[in-house]
Amino acid sequence: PKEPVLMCRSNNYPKGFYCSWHLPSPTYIPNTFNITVMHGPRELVCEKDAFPKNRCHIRYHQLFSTVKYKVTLTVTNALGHTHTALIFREFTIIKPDPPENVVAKPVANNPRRLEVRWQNPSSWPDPESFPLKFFLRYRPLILDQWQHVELSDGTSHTITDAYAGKEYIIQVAAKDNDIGTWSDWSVAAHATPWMEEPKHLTTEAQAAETTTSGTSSFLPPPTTKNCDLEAVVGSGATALTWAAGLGLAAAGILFI
Amino acid sequence: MLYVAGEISGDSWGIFAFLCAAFWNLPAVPALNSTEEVGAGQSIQKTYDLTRYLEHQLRTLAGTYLNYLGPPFNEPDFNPPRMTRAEMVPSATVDFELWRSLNDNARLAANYRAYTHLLCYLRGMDGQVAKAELRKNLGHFCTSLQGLVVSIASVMSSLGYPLPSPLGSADPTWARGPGATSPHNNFLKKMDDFWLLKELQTWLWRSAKDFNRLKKKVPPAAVMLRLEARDF
Repeated sequence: PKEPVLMCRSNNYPKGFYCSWHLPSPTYIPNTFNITVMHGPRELVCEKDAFPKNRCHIRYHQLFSTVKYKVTLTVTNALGHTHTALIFREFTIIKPDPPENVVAKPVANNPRRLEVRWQNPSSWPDPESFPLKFFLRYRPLILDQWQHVELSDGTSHTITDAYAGKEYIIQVAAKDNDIGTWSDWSVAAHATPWMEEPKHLTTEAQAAETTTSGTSSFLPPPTTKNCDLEAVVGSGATALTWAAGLGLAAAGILFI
Repeated sequence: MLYVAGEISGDSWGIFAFLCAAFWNLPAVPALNSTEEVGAGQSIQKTYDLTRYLEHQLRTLAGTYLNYLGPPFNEPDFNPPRMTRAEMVPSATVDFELWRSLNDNARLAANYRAYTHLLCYLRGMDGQVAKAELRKNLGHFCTSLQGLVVSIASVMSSLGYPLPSPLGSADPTWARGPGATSPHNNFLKKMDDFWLLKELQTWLWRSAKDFNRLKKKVPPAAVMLRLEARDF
């Protein structure tokens, strides 16, 4: 068999870490994998996961170890065997799972704001003692360039410089506050900032109204139908009232 | 201050031992003027920040120093067994449940003892280094590390904890005798240096976590003050 690919990672620090492996190309005959984990002179047991099969996990007995871990994986089949090894220190393999339940919502009466909330990854066992910090990135769908914000605590953030009326894509990544590497990006959240009633729109250009306070007291609160402009544009509904039709025209102008 | 960076000669272990002993008897850091709780909160944050800064500094310093030691010490996969001599360096390694259950005093004391020892040993390493630039960088690092020790002492003092008592004179095992020229000894010395740097790095990682825990336990008054300052 060709040399296997081995990866070890701690997404549940300080509980332990897992290692997973695969063969870069199939052998079409049965293979057995044998994994050994050494911590200095001590051999540790890597408990095989039921699923996926090519994965096992180790529980840490000690924290803040200076001694390296050495993980050796041997693949054997009828034609022979190969092996590969990883040597690492406790801190270098720490990489949390991405944050969960990332939700972005418009902020009423604030055309340039989006409120983003998320949760710590559920695999991270002790965010109290091992807090995570977060990296947020966002951009309107129509642009390629991301904006970034790094947040040292808290699981929410308000974007205050969104382009009015544009749909945004937002993602969050997590990292232990002090050690290890950033997680992968979370599942993306989408949201469009709050918009005023279309018939009350002034000459609001694409880029920037610098309204920061955002309370327009002369406007009636928007109806849910008007907020959901995407649905209005996309729906083929025939029973449009005249007012909704006007809203549609105004929305059409905005989306040019 | 008593310590002049880079000036300690490697062949006077008497002075070395004296300095280590003197260090233990640092004059008590005067308690901060404002309420002790506020002082503790700010000191903990400063100490935390200092460990992060030192960890950063150490990355560069260790890289340079290991290159100076030469192979195999500067090879990334170098994974030697711990030798008995190296075990003199206080280890950050600790049982997980034990670490979690440490009370504030024990947690701080462990840090204080560790860095006081590590600083002593680092200063011993200082005089051995042939290259002037590296000696200077080591000296700077030692000064910063000393700042950390003082910072920890300040936190302990403001929380009303006594500083840990000295553990006797410096261990002669770590004293660098004059003219130890046999290649076998030379390799062992390099090994000691290697483990010293690794242990220091681990301690700085651990301290960040220790001070994170301590931050959470700071009395509410101090937390409120910090929050107000942030919201201005």
